[in-house]
Amino acid sequence: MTRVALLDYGVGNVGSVRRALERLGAEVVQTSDPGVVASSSRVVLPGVGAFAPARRSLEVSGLEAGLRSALDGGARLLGLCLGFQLLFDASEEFGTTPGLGLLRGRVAPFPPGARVPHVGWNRLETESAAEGPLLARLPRGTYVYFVHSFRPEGVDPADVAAWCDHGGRFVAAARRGNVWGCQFHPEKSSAAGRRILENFLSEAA
Amino acid sequence: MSLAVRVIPCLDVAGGRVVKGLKFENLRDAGDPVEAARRYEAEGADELCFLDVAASNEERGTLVGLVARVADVLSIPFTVGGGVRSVEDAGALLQAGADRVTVNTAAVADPGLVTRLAERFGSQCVVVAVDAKRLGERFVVSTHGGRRITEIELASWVAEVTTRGAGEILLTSMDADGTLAGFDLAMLKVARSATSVPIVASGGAGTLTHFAPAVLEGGADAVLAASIFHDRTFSVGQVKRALAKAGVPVRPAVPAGLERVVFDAKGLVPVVVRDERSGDVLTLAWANEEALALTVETRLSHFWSRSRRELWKKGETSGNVQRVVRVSVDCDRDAVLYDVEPAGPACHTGAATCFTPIEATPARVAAAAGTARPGPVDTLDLGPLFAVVAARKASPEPGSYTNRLLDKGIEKCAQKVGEEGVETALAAVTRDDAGLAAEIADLMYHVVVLMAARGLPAGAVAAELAARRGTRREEK
Repeated sequence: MTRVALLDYGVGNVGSVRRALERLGAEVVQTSDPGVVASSSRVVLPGVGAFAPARRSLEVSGLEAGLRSALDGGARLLGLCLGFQLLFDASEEFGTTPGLGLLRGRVAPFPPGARVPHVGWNRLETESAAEGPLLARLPRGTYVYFVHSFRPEGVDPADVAAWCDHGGRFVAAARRGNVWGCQFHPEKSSAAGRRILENFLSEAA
Repeated sequence: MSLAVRVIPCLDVAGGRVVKGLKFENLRDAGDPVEAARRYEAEGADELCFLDVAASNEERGTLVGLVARVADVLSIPFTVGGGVRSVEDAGALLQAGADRVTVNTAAVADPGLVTRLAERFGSQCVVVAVDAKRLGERFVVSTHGGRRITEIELASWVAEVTTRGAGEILLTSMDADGTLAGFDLAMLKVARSATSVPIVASGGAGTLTHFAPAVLEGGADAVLAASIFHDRTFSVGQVKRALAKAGVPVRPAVPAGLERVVFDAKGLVPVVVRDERSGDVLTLAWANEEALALTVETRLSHFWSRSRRELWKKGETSGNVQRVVRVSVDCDRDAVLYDVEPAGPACHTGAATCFTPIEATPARVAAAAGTARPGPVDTLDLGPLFAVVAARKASPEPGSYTNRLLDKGIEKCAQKVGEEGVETALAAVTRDDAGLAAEIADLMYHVVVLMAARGLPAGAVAAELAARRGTRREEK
């Protein structure tokens, strides 16, 4: 059984993420203890809400240090929704806030004219024929469930795992080494989401 | 924008139970919302909506418990409503795992509630349910499940709740609701022109052709229905395929497991049909994705006819449907097996199976080779036929020819045996082997039905036949 540290840093309801991972047989430790995070081989950074307070909470709680130490030890990280946005260099949500800097890019609002929040089922577009481990075994054009008002820009093309279209193309999933992230909610994306979480839990990389 | 139009089954609940029973196959508990939720997700529902129709304060805890149980099994978003009167009510439901809450009557009485909910939980969590009615040329808002009509114009109410932070409008036409006559498109257009937030169309869906106009003409972003899904009139997949054919973007509904099937360049996969009781191979046919999905959803054999280029349901005209016990996929994933309980012959010639020997049976081959030894006898086992007829008699099925015969009584069954006997006699001297086999099959089937009508057990005939065999041996 894979043990997963689910970061509990006071940002939104993480129950659905915990249940989704447990249904796949993972042992989920919902934790705010940096030591537990540092010693885990799988770490999930969830998040709903605003960027700046979430970023501050990660730092103040010591979870950021635990997270970085887990990554140094080879742990695999999955950022979801706001947790995905936190992986980038910075966010422009209500002023500029620096992010964790694990992925290149900045989090910015949708262009004018795009309906916000972007809520609902939208298609993933994967570019290269070589499927990465994050979206392995998923058919092309798979629909997943989104709820968000901001999305990353200027992402390193080498890190892009999937695009999505809402007021133009944006990066819906990215991966750089053992840092994985999805703008959408795999825990709400039915069979497609289950497969993504299985990929995250699996030993293959 | 390429957001999929959502298809949302709605479940009315009271006291933690589904109010109207669900007519799914093999549902252990037709009133269990958790089991229903699982089924609908597997069928491709994009979202579920639970409305507490009792919605008394005493029951609030029951609803919260239900939400938690549903959240445990569901991996699609779900909305909960009915009797939400305060930020605390909504908070308890969201904390238990609901993705959104709906407010209705309470918002009309206290529009500030919408503002408070949006500020506390974010617009994406707040759905305002609007029950509207036609009043002459106008559309007005009603409350208390349509029993009280207000003077509030639909358009101005939709605009107001949008300004207050509603993330979505669930618009139900109280006139169309329950009529199965289609959505009220004029009402949808009025609401559409008053807001930019998503609108869920509800009330009136009765046929597959009703859904696309709600989106294409009415401007809805999602369609919601209750009874047509619960009564199994249509599956979620059927509604989605109808929308897709009309050009509406939907998340394809592929029943769980079917995504593993590999179709050929023409989009087809061969299907072997096997009698689940006897193990006999009945048919080799073809299916496209829709036929396969329909088979899984309806538990009745569906195929794609390559000659007629159309989807067909086995038994559509003959009544000889095949109840599907199991659908399996081959190890290479490029062939499918249906294990079925046939209600009648599989072959259009009237034979039980589509396959007939084209070479001598093993016994004859052995005899010809001069190494004769007792081989399998070319025989006929009526066991499966007795089993199917007995099953129909025990639990009648709509559209079953056997049940129609049994309902008409023994005289009708007896008359049919007489007719089929004459037809068999005629076929013996005027028709080819296939024709004769078909008439004999008809005769045997009707004899079995006659026995069922009389309540004469198969064993009585078997005993009589055995007794005769004994007599003959003694004569030797």
